Amino acid sequence: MESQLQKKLILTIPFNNNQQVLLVSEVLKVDKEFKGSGIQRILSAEQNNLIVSFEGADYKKLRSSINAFLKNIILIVKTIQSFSIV
Amino acid sequence: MVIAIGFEGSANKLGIGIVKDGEILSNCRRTYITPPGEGFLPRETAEHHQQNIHEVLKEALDQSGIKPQDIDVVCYTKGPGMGAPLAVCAIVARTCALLWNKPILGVNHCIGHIEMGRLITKANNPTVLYVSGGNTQIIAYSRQRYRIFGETIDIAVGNCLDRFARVLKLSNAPSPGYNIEQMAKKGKKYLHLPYCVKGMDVSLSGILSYMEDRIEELLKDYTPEDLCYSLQETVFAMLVEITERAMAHCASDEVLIVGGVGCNERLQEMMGVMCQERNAKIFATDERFCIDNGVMIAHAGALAYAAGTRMEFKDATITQRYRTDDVLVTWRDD
Repeated sequence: MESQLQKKLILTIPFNNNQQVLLVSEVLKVDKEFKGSGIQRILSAEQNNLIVSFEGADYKKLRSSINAFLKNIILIVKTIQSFSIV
Repeated sequence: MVIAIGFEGSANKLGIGIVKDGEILSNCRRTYITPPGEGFLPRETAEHHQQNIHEVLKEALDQSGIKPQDIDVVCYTKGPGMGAPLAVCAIVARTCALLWNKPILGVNHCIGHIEMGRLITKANNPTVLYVSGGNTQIIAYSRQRYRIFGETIDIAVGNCLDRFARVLKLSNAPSPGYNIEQMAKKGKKYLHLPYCVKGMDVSLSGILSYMEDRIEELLKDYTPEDLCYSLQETVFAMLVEITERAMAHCASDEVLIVGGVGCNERLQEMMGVMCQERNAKIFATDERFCIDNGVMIAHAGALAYAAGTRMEFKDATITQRYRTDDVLVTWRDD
């Protein structure tokens, strides 16, 4: 029974400005969360913050989704840092 | 005149290249090499790409002398291939497209190989043998599609060779196939192996299982060199047969070999013998281009872009399965 209860994690990731938040969320929105995972991911932008919520019943799948998500954030941030047109 | 950058990472090679109107300005690559006896798995391969992609991107831009502002289209491998590694390149490509305010275009990996082969060799309208670790297809062009005439019904020939290299615990550097090729050159005793052509197609998993199951016994009578030699002779003869069959159907007098296994000189030699018998010409590229690379993605993308193909940003996804004949070849009207 307890394993059916939905757990929710909300991450707030600050960026330098709103354009960066929108860019990051546009890149990430292209991929939908893996259907079989049972994890729902919702992205939203609030001024300079990217707000991501993960909701699901399975702890392991929740952890993998969040892990993969953060790896992608690192990838995008490094790309912005190194390859922005100044 | 289109300047395109291409990101490739569908397997263990990470490649980024820049092309301008068919002229190669840079072609940078890193390969994820596993210890002997081990293959590469999606998660570690994706991590390898993540760790190296920014360095390779910088290298590609620096070597080409091109500034991001000058690029017309950002191309990436949409598929086919391994999911997690493909996603790494797609995400960086998308980010670059937005940072530089450029259109994005997903490219079919197989078509990348074909168009690179045509560019380098100037083959006119060849029957294409596409052979790599992930793919084994016979392809011929007809009415705006690269049609698959024959293929493996189970594993790719490169996969068969690579997995046999694992059984022998050969080094994976620079690639297992290369080391099998060198061993095969020293083989003397031929072992008769199952030969598996099914009409226009081939089957390779049975030959691999046959060798895997009997390896202890076989090594009593044959050296590893003999086994590498016998395996190559068998699978390459199968490939030559299905290539010839397709050529006969299409009345073709040109063969183009692309894909990592296309580097193999014995395969090129055997294909050459068949071609000579049919008065056909054989074309092949060197390891810069037959092994997965970024510039082939850039070039195929540039051709499509110049012909008017466009992709909406929301469709810049990746897919593990992507058939060669699913792509409308807008850049050819023959």
